[in-house]
Amino acid sequence: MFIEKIHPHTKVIFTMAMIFLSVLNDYTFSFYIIIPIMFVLHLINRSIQTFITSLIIVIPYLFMLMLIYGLLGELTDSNWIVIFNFKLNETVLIDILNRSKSVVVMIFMLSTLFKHTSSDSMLLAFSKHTSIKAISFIFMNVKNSLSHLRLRANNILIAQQTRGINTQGFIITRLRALWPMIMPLTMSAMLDSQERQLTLYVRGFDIESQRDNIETLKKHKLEVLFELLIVGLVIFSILSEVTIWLN
Amino acid sequence: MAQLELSNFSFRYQGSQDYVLKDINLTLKSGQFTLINGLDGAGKTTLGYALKGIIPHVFEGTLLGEQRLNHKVFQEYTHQELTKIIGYCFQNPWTQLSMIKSTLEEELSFSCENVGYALEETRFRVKAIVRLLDLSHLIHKNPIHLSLGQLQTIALGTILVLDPDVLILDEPTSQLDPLTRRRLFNHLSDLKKQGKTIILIEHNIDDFLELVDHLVLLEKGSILDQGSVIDVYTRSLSIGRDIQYPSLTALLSTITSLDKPILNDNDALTILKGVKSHD
Ligand SMILES: Nc1ncnc2c1ncn2[C@@H]1O[C@H](COP(=O)(O)OP(=O)(O)OP(=O)(O)O)[C@@H](O)[C@H]1O
Ligand SMILES: [Mg+2]
Repeated sequence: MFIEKIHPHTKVIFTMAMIFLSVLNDYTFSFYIIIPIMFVLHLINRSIQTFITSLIIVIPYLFMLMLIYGLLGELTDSNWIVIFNFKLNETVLIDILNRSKSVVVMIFMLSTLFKHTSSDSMLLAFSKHTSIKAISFIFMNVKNSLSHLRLRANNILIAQQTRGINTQGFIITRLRALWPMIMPLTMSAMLDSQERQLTLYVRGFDIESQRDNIETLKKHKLEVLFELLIVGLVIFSILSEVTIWLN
Repeated sequence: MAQLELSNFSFRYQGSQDYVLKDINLTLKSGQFTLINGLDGAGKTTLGYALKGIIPHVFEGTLLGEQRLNHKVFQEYTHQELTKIIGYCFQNPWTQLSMIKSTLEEELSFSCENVGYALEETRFRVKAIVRLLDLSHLIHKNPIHLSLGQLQTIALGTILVLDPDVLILDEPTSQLDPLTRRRLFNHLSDLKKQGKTIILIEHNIDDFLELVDHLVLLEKGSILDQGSVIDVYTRSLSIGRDIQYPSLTALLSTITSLDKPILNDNDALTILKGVKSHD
C-alpha cells in the first residue's frame, strides 16, 4: 500500500504530467507505456481492482467510439455493421486510439489518484491555497458523502427487511426494494451540497488564517527528486516538440 | 460576554414570494437563556440562521433590518471573530461534520485549526472537551460510523471546543434518548452558569423550561409574544391562544426553585399540595 503513502503533491504532479504527455505524444505512449506502468504499480500496491475498474470504464468507451465512427460513416467504404464483423482496418483503429488516448489516460490516472489518496491528506497538502482548498473540500467530501449515502440506503434496506419486503438476492430485487427511496435519496444528496456550504461557513473553514494542523505531512527527498524528474520530462517533451515544429 | 440583537429584521429567501421572517425585534441579553418555540415551518431555523449570520452569508435573499452583536452590526466583525463568538448547532448533526476528517479527534481539532489556534492550544482544548463530554472512548473512531445521539454530542463538542460566548442550538434533542437529553440539559445548565448566552430552538418545551429566562413564540415568521415563561403563558392562557403549552410538571419546575428535580406529575401534585397548605 505505498501509493497511499506518497505525498499528494507528488501524485498530483505525476497525474497531471502523464495526462499532459499523453496529449503531446501519440497513442503508443499512452497504451504501451502509461497503462502498463499503472498496471505494474497496482500490482505492487495490491490494488489491481482499481486497474480493473478503470478497464471496465475504458473498454465500453472504446467500443462506443467505434460505434460512433460507424454511425458517422467515417469508416471509409464500409458501414458500422462491419464493426461487429471485426473488420476494422488498422488505420481506423489507430485513429480511434489516438483520439481516445488522453481520456483513457485520464481515467486510469485520476481513478488511481482519488482512490488512493485520503481526503485529509489531500486537503492538508493544499491547505495553503484557499481557493484550491475550497475546491478540494467540495471534491473530497464527495467520497464521504457517498459512503454516508450508502449507509442510508443500507438502513432503508434493513428497515424494509424488517417490514417483510424481500431485499436479498438479485440486483433487480434489491433495486425494486430501493426504488421507492430513490427520489428521497437523490434529493437528500442534492441538498447535501447546500448543507456542505452551511458546514463550511459555520465551522469556519473559509476563514483565511494560518493553520496549525494536528496531522502533519512531510515530503521525502525522493519524492522531491521524483517531482523534479517529472517536471524535467515534461519540459524536455515540450522543447523537443517545439524544435520538431520549428524545423 | 455577548448580547445578540435583531432589529426590524425581515428576510425572504431568494426565489420565494413571502417573507419567512417579518419585522423581528429581538434582544438576547448576555447570559440569558432563550427558548424559541413555534410550529413546523414557523421560521425557527431561519431565525437561528439570522442570529448566526448564516443569513446573508450563505443564503441569498432580501434582507431588511440589522443584526447586532454587542451593539455593533455583524458587518463590523471578521468571519473569524464571529466564528469564535457565536457557536451554531444544526438541526441535523450530519451537517455539523466536516466529512473530510477521519477521526473524532481530528474533527474536533478542525474547529480550532480553522480559527488559527496553535497546535498546543488545539490539543489542550480538544482534550478538555473530550473529558467534558465523555467522548474519550470514541476519540479515534470515524464520526461517520457513530449513532445520531453520539453525533449530536460531537456536534456540541465541535462548538464548545471554541468556547463561544453565544450558543445557538436548533432542535438538538430530536435525535436523543431521554438519558442523553438529560445529559444535554446538564451541559446547558452548566454553560448557563458560566454566563453564556444560549438560544435554544425547541419543539419539546418541557425538558428545558426550568433553564429558560426568555421565551419567544414564533408564528408564521412573526414574534407572537416574548417575555418570561410565566408571563408569556399567563397571557396566552388568558386570551386563549392556540399554542403548545408546557406540562404542569415542567411549568412548576420553573417557578419553584427546588433542590431536587420534579420528575413526574405525582411529584408535582405533592408540591402543589404543599404550596396550598402553606397558604
Ligand atoms: N432555503 C430555503 N429557500 C426557500 N424557502 C425556505 C428555505 N428554507 C426554509 N424555507 C421556508 O421558510 C419557512 C420556514 O422554514 P424554517 O426551516 O425556518 O422553519 P422551522 O420553524 O425551523 O420549521 P421546523 O420546525 O420544521 O424545523 C418554510 O416555509 C420553508 O419552506
Ligand atoms: Mg427548523
